[in-house]
Amino acid sequence: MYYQLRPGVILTEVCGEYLLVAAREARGKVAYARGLNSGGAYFWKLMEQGLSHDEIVAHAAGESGMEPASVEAALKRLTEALTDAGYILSEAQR
Amino acid sequence: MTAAQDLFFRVLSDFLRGETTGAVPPEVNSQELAGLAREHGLMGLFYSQLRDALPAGSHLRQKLYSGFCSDVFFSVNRQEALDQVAQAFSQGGIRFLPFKGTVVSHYYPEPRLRTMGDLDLLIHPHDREKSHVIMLDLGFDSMVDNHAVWTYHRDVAIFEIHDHMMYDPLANELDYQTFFDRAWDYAAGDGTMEILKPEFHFLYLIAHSAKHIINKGYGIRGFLDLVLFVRGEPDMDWEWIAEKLRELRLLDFTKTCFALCRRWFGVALPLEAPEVDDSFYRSATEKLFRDGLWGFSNEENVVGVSARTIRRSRAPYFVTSCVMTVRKLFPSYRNMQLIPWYAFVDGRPWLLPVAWLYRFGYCVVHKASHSSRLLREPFSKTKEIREREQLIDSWGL
Repeated sequence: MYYQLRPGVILTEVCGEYLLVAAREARGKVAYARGLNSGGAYFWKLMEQGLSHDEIVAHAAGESGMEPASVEAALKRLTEALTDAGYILSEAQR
Repeated sequence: MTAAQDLFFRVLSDFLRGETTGAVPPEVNSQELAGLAREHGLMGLFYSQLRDALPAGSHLRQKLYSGFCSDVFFSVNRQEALDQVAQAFSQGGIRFLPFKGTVVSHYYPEPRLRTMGDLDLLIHPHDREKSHVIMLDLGFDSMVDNHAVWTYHRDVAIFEIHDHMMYDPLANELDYQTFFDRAWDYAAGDGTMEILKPEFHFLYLIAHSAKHIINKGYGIRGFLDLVLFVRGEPDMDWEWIAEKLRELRLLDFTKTCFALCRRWFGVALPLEAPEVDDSFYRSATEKLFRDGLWGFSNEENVVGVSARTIRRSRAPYFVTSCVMTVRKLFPSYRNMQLIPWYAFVDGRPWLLPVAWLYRFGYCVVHKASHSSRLLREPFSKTKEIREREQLIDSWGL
């Protein structure tokens, strides 16, 4: 499964804090800015690179040394929250 | 000074030293502190300075975080708009020169936390129509103009396109517009985007600060800009700057600004200046706090323009006041053509008496008491105008 990110959302880091910022066509469709922790930002960057769900899990587990199941659970929590908030487009929105 | 105001300066001093600020003293009213940070356009900066000292769920932390997010949001979107306009101007062969916040933000350790209401670009007068077409093509709406600035708005980005950097007089008869029209002689670039020589930009920042102090008031952020700009350009030619400041009658004012910055922020700055006396230090600091970023909400500033006019005039107070009243009753064609509801005079100056009559009738019917207060201002607010003149004096202006 691949994630489709909402066009116009920009991940930015300011003073060590990660924010998803609504720009261009994303303005008015998602909150103007939303904080992410470093793990969330890491996953977002992999999604931006166009990696699939399984590739992200394998990549993150390989880099962090965590169990793939834990990585998958964290990724699931994040993508559900970001889909609910409109940052990741659901099947119906694509 | 209140505990919150004390902390306000401590945060800025720590910021300039590159240190975060420790615990917030319990006597600090957090609502007052958040209000000060907001009014001076420093919410994001305060968040970055205080986040480690504030408990995760505290109201102050949440408020500052919200301001931080807002600052980043506007900054990211402004930058996108600026890149787009810069590219379009370059393709259209329009020479442009960014100035004020657009440039000053880059002297901040984190430029995205330097807030600004609009983006200022200087163009040549002969490119005015061409730039107007480009801005409209890019989807910007044209807003109210004056004779030196055209304002454009799209979503969250506002651009001010100037063909003169400085068009307002200060509190003397010098012609600042002509001096700053030489900006292009002090700029270098790739043929389209030009960068001002820092010495000249510094002169402009000082003149711009003076304008705000005289007219409507000025916030602390403007002084932070000066400190960061001076620090970021350690090789500026201070002999040349001092000579030009003297020519512009702004040397004493600059020294006053630097003396205040030394005392507020504990920083070292060039140009030897005597310490400001305690009573001026207190009154100037209190007024800057009351002014907020631009002094719009401070009622004391309503007499600013009258005081400036009276100060610039060589005629006695009474005569100047009468002239001001006549000018208010019969504004010039140049001023009337810019007011949207009198725009019918634009290109038809012979209709000016009709516009005056219409304006007079409208004011009598809809805002008689406000209009009469404005007309009587030079006579009814003599004390406030005199105090304002003293304030201008005490700043070295």
